[in-house]
Amino acid sequence: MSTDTGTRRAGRLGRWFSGPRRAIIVSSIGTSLEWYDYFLYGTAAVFVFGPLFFPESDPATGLLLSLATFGVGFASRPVGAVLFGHFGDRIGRRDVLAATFLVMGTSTFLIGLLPGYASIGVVAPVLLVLLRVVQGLSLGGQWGGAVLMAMEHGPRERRGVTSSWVQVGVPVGNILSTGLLALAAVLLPNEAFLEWGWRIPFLLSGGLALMGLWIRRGLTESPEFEAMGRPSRSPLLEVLRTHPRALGSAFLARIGSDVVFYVFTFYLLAYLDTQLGMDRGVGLAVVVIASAVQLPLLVLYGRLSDRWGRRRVYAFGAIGSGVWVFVFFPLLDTGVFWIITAAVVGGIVFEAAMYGPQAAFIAELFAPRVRYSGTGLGYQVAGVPSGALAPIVAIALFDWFGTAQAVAWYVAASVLVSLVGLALSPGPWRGTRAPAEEASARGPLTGAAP
Amino acid sequence: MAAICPDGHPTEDTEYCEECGLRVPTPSGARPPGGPGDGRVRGSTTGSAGGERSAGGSVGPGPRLGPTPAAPGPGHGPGGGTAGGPVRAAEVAALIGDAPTSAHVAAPRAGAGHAGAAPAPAGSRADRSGAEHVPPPGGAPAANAVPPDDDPADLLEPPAPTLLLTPGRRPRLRGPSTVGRLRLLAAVTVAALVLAFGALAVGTRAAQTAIDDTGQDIGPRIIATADLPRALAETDAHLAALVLLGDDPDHADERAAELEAYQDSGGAAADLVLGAHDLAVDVEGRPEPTAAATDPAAAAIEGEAAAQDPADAPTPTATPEDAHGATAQAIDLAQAYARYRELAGRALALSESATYPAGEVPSDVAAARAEAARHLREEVLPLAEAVSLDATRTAFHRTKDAHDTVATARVAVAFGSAAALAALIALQVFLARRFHRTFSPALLVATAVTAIYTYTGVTVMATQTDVLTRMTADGLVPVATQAALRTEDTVEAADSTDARTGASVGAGSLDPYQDDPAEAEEAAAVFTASVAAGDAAIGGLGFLIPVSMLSIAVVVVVGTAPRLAEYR
Repeated sequence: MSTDTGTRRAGRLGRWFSGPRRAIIVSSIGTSLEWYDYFLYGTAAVFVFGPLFFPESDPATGLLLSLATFGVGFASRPVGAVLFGHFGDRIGRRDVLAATFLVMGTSTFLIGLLPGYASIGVVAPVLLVLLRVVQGLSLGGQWGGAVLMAMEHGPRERRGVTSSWVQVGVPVGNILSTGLLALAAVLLPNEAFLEWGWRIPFLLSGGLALMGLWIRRGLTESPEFEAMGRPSRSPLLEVLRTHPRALGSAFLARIGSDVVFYVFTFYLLAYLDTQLGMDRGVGLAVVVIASAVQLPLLVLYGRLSDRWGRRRVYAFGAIGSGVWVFVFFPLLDTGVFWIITAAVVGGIVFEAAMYGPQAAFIAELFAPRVRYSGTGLGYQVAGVPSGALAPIVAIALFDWFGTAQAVAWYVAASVLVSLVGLALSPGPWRGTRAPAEEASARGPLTGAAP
Repeated sequence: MAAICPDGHPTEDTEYCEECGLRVPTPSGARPPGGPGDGRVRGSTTGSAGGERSAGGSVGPGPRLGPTPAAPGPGHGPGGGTAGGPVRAAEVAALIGDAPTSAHVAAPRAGAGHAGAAPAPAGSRADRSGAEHVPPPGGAPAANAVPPDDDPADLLEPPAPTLLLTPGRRPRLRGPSTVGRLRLLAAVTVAALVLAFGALAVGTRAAQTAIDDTGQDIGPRIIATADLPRALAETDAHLAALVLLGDDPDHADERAAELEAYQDSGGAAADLVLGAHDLAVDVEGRPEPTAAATDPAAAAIEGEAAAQDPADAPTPTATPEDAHGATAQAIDLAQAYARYRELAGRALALSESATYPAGEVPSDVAAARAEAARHLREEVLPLAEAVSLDATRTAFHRTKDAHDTVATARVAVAFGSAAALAALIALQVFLARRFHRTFSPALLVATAVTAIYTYTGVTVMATQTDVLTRMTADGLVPVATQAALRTEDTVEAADSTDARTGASVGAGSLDPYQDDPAEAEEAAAVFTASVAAGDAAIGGLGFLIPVSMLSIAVVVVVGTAPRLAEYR
């Protein structure tokens, strides 16, 4: 009897965890782990990599060099988008997505096994940079695949919410990486942490590689890919030739969202540290709280974008961020923890309105035969001038003008760029346009849908 | 080799072929009663569909193949039974020299027919494909199937197990099966990895021990002990000054300063003497037995040191009864130093009791001071030098042993890692050829980690040999050499001071004892830097070596296990 009950329960679970839901969950978990790996490097670059891989230089230079290797990851992401996008459009989303997980898990795992400069000399930082490049390649290829697997498996009228689950990977990865590294730092003596404790979160990424294998076995190929017929011979060239406006729109729309995110989180740490003289732990705690708030908001905005249209929700987030940033810095200047938290959470509320529907917004711009390449390219190329440079530009502006208002104007300008991107959007690709979307595609920022 | 499958592959597995997966016929002698026939068992067990491709013995003289021709099963297996007694038929056919009777030539699985089925019609597939589809022997006999010169009895003799005969081809020798090769390569890989990582672990441990032992403990004490002659010289110089100054009220301030300096340098010398004692105990590996109660000299030193700073006062630990070698030498040094302080104290006491102007030392005071100086140069300093040199020599030998171990480990790491890399590449190539895979990601990762750790192992071992060389050759040896030179200077200076006792107050200055400590300091700095470099190079490897080893082993298994499973 109990066996029957167990079997029935397993059967129910199996049915529940199948089809689109399975694709969404697996894509979401995989993306979370992928971002975990990516952010883990950034956190370790601040605390560990300087003395371990760049000990010959003075501490400040060592920190800068280790952060420079962090930036290398941004530069390689568009290359990954092109590389994996090519295969994703030609041989299928599933296997390429699995490959990106394997590559990311393996490269992060190898960073955990990497001896330091004292052991192998200059080869150590060289290998570190190389593995960082591989991480960037993988992330560049992974995001598009995960979005497409979630989106193309799901119903057409719920693409916003299905793809927003993939976006959840960013805050989850951020919380996981910061939390695990902090846990290791708290539990271990400082010497043990610097010698081997920091490696444990990296070695755990081997699990991501195994997940890649699981995905290959457990997921079916995207229905839209299977239905699309003969694949493009050169998806990159085709997307550049046939979807220039979509690419431009995706690129511009991404700018504001990335700048807002990195100013509200990464630059925040520098601002609290250098301008307010606050402990670094305060900033990290605030970022973790904001990430936790961001989690449900992303899905909520994804769902709203299915009802009200992507561009409308996206524009709400852009305008809100552009306004909020002028409140943001005065709130930070109070130096009170809860007010700072409220400032960051407020910013994240608007940022999530851009980031939640962003995946569906970008992916829908492209035809299925070039969607992997177009989505990845549009998303990742924008990350270089926005995400990678935002904290640097913000620091430079503050130094130049001596006031945070300069940074606020920079953020406002970036969200204006995003609004231009939204306005230029050609709307969802016509070949797969749903009736509800058809109306919305008539004009930018008008109508009931994006 | 346990058996040969129906397709002629040698296999260790007695039930299924490791290469093609076909069921292996039970050897005739071992066949259970009622078991399914002989080498043609597939034909007899695959049921009623058999016979549809049984095809004729008309294909001509099939070569003798397979190990168990015409094995006379005592009973009918299930297939055999339904097939109309193929075993018996095969037996007969074999005996009359009619049957090719090889498991090797049995029909392939898809077409496995009844051993005892009727001959296939002319023009069947077996007809077209020649000997490979020679029918099971229970089928219609073809009288001309076996060359007339073949002795039917030969058919019962199994061929050499490694000899594969393929119809229409020359016999060729086969190596291990696919599965066997896969296992062999994986085993070689793991064995080579164990060798490489084992050597790396041994070399690292030897280097770490040498660095901990010599670098963190003995070495610093040797360097500190090298300062002993200087401390003694300072003490003696201040003593000379005190004796020269006497109780002259015009020089009361000078005397007070000299007395304070004398006590300071005396305390420092006492600390160093105790350090030499501890060093000797450590070098000899002696347990640290009892306390100063049994060692008057050490007790005296302890008291003196405690007078300087009771909290930091060292405690001598060895007893004269337990002591031997370097420890005894150190205790002798402590006793000699205690004797010096005793003589110095007597000279001071005489100086304080006598009233004389500065520089005009009475003869009894001068004699007491001279006795103390003579004891210093003839007893204390040579013993101090001997303790330092002995410790240096011991440290040098230990470090050299560690150096040799690390150098050997380096070679083993290089060879083991090269073998592991070669095996991994061979495994990769083998999988690519046999399973038509471009590459195995898991093995690629294993190869990358192995390559990284090959480089790491060789580099770290090279760093350690260099560090161990520099620690001694460029560090401790120059330090000890400088200490010996300084001892000579001190003896000379003591003589000089002694000779000028009656001359002037200035004779009590440290000038005669000054030497150039730059070289010794430089050597000490080299030593410290070498130790730090060696420590840093090893740092973390204690964790990384086992984790990497385990990771590679897991990844190799992950990379090969699916292929093994796929093959089965």
